Amino acid sequence: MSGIELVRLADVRVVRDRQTILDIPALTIAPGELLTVIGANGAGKSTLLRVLALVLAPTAGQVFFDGVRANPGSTDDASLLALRRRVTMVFQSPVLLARTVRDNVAAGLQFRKLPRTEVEAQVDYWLDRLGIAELANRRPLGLSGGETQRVALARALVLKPDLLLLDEPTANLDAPTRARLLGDLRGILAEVAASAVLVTHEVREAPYFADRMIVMGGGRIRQQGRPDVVIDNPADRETASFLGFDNILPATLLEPAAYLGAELADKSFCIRPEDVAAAPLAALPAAARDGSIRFAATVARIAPWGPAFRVSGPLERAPSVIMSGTAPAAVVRDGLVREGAGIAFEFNPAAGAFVGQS
Amino acid sequence: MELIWQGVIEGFRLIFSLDPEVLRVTGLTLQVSGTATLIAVIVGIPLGTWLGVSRFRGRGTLVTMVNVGMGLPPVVAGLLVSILLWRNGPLGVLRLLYTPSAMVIAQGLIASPLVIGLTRSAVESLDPSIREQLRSLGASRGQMLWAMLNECRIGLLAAVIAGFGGVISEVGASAMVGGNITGHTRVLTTAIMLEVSKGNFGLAIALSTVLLTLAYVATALLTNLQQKGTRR
Repeated sequence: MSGIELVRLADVRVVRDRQTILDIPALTIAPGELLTVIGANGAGKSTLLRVLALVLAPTAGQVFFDGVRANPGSTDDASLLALRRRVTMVFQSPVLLARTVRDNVAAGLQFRKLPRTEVEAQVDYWLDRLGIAELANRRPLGLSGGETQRVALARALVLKPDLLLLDEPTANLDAPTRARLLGDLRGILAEVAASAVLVTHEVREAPYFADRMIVMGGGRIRQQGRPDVVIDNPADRETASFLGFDNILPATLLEPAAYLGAELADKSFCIRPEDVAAAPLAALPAAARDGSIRFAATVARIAPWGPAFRVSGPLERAPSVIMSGTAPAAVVRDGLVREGAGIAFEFNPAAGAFVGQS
Repeated sequence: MELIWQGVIEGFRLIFSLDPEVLRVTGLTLQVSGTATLIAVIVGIPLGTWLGVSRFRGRGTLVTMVNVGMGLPPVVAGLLVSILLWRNGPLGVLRLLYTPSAMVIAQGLIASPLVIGLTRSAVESLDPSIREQLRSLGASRGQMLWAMLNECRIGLLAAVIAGFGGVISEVGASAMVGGNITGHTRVLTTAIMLEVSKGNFGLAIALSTVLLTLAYVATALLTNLQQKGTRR
């Protein structure tokens, strides 16, 4: 590996049916870097991965792998194959071949014409490492979703790629299986020291993995940075809503307007419902807590939200704005918060963020 | 009813007594139809695969043509080959008309569209993302195609079964380009036609029994091979 870049995209665009589905002016991935990509469906995440995997030729632009130009369609087949063998991608819906699990995991090594004994040893190691050794002689039909994902991961990891691309490896899995697989994956990524790009739409999974988080929308990179920073500081309204900031209020509603010194013209204030307390008016002290802001509203909807309840309704001062907050189960059960009744939403603006319009 | 029963018994007697004339006719039937199927497979699987994985202008028309070809009436195939091989025809100098080779060509023409069409549909029935997934595992183009064919081997065997079944049972082309010459180009189907026209229903039924047995054994072998492939 040379230098500080493993992969670089320059002015990459993918156009399909006259629509630009990917538009990346510049993206560099460093050796060993762990990247996570989040975004709504259709944001271009999978397309980006397929370009990085060197299996999809961009309509325009350049792909460099380890400093070498690697554009499918224009780089010659032999060089491209050699580069492609240093990357591997685990697809969102892995297609396992109609042979045993063991043979599936061995497939990539066999393509590389490795000696049989080495193939056996490597396959055994990764079957064991991913906890699927007992499935070795099973056939794909009849494997559970979690087992299939593990086989797909094993057949990618056995290749010791310099760049591992994971397209929602935990989608379609139930919560405990997902947590277990994620835990394993974190340990393994640390062990193999490869660069990795994890695509997910589970926002909460992202910070576990990554040194850097990329938020995509409409085929473009909307925002990138340290995951913990990005998650609490969305750059625009679309990103904010994707990151769980369901409350997006005109910033002028907040008084005094000098909050955080923000220039509020054309800005919105966003905050997650988890950070907004929904409390019955009667139960509150006369004034909001220090630094907090309080809005009176009418309850329009109450829905279970984990162990608590999510309460939504129009603000008294601006009925076109629907706000959501969280109320403890007890107050809902006691009928203190009920549909049609008055309520107060209270939050500390420091828990939210100001975002621009676009 | 009695006639049919007698004919079937006579058929099995012919099979087990190893009647030399029946053996020769059966042998030629197998040889001609087997060779034609083999040629159709050699030509049809690569072409069908190519049709299945490529995207180009005019592909739709080509696919339709292949599909029409799958229903090509043997008589028409025979006519085409006759015209080509006719003494004064473009390939007349080869002097192949009324030889087993002419029958192989005609049957190959009948079997090829079947193999091409069924191979194409088998390849297209694979998960569309399998190509990128194989590529991403480091497969070269050749390795990728080989793995894809291996994935749809059940469909490919169906193509072979259909091709063989199509030609072993046809009579029009064989009669037209082979001529049904005793000891030279007579195969089971043309022999049956001849016996029926002579009023020898008993022998015709006997030969039909041989033909059905042959078709059954060959198809059973292929099916057995195919079912082994279904164990996923």
